[in-house]
Amino acid sequence: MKIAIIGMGLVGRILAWRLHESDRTIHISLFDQQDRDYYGTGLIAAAMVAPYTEVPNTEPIVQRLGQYSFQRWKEWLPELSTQTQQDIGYLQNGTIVVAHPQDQSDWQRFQIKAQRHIDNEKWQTLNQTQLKHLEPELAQTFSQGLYFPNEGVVDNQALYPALNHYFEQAETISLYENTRIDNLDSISADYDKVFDCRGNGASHNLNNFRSVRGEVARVIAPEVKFSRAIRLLHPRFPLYIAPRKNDEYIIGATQIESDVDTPVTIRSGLELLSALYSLHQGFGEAQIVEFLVGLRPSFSDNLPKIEWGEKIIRINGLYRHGYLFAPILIDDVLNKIMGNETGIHFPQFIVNNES
Amino acid sequence: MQSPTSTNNSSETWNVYGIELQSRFFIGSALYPSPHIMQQAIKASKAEVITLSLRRQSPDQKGGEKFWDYIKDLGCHLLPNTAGCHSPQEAITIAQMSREIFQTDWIKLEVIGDDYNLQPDPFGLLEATEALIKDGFKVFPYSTDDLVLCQRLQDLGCEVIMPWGSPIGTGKGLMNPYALTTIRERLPDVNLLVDAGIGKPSDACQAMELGFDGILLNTAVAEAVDPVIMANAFANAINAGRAAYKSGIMPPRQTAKPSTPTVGTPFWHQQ
Repeated sequence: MKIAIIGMGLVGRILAWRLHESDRTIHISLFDQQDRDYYGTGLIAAAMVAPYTEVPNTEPIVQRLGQYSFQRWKEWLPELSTQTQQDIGYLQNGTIVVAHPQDQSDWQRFQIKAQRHIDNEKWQTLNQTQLKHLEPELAQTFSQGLYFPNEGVVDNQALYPALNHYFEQAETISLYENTRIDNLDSISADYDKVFDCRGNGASHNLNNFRSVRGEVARVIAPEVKFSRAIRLLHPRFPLYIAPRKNDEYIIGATQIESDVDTPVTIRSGLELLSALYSLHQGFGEAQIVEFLVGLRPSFSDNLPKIEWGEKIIRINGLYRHGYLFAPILIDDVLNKIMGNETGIHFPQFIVNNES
Repeated sequence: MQSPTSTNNSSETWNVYGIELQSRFFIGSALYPSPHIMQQAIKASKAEVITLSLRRQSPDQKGGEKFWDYIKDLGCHLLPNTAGCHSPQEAITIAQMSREIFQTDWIKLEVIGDDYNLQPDPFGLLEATEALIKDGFKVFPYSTDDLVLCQRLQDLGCEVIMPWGSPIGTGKGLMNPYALTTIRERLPDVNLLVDAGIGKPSDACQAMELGFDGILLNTAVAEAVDPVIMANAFANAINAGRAAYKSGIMPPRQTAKPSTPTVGTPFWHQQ
């Protein structure tokens, strides 16, 4: 079987890897308009796998999708580490949500939505003693928190190079870098299946599709020792902090309804860093490594879609949930290819378009 | 004949800068969980005017065009705003860009004076209003509930004035009903909308009972657990308040008065 995958972002890469693992006789061609080291949205992202703390701001179904993916990454990342002999971190210490006393209204709103949509056993409130036990430095500023234990952060800075390494070793995977493909029909004659895994590049082929701008900062903060993802609720500058190795933290992210990826604005930078400093003053002496901008490919409901044609299959619109959605979507796609319809978990995302 | 239980006073229209409207609900387009939910909520609100912001969407490059299309698809009148502007010049620039992009001379004018509670800057607001009216705009100024400021805005030519109920996004309702009542009484010919601070449908109803012509809100719907149902709740509350105002609210009395006659009640039970 010959398969083409257009787009070497998170979905395209994971799909190529899982397809190759399922059947090594499949010939896979991976195309991208950039090269393999391009810093795309999947690499800029904080890579949080947050099935619960995302719920209050999105659709409740995110919880079920994300629970599956949280478990799947636990299996996948060690497997890829073994295959590539590369260490890929997966922080699984959960998320703590906090708010400043003056933002009690946002704190209450978040809890009301969490109570409505999230199972009680999936989260707990923390008093200051409990907060101090879990995340001591956070208790210096905050007297209470909400704890969601089953959430994680993927080290995407390690994942992407590991997948590059995997592709280089795989005899039946070919990479076509700096190769832009706009017309998928034009190459479909040469392949049994063509997967459109483009992000924003697919915009002119899709209806109800847009990009949502997100800005993040990467900082190195030796004076801060957080061991899990932190979210700060705020009426205007909500913030998350995703820890990486070596005292590095990803700080994100703005959410602007714009498809322009010009550099980070002063206002966004000020908002992100002011909110960050209010969370822990140890960030005051942190080094700003870089500010980055990514565009999140999104449908109007901010949920993903798999459009299943006879030959062309489109997997698009992962919005700000690439790491939360990719495992479940790709497992569903593989099950459908293999004819295992009963193994599909979320048929509502598969739109049959077979002619 | 309209059903007495109808939630829409469809027979009554009002005129806003020459445009006939039925709904008295102006709704915002920010903060929804998704554009899809935003569209559903706005439909449920039956609003005919939608406010939208372009300050942070790289308007010079039309960065938010796809998102604006979701709003345009609803077929309502667009009321671009200058949210996020801190000086008259910033607001004027955004107003001019808005007019070009959305082909409307309507502008909801916000000039923020304080960054934490987003209180309007009354001085900057007057300066920008004057400049924009001279430039042909139809200005919907977001103001505090200061009577003299509202009078000055009317003097400059505003046919609509939108004092706050309380600061943007707080949901504290009408902090100063006395001030709002005074503005209503003293400016009987201006369209008055309460803009900002409405948290509950009963807040909107209260403002309409005071005789305000309409309500502009965003957060209370967009951040509700179910924005679509909440939009409908606000639509009903606004209609109820308007109907109450129009039908004549009984003034409160100091003493109780039985609604059934007391004839026949033994005299020792009467006071």
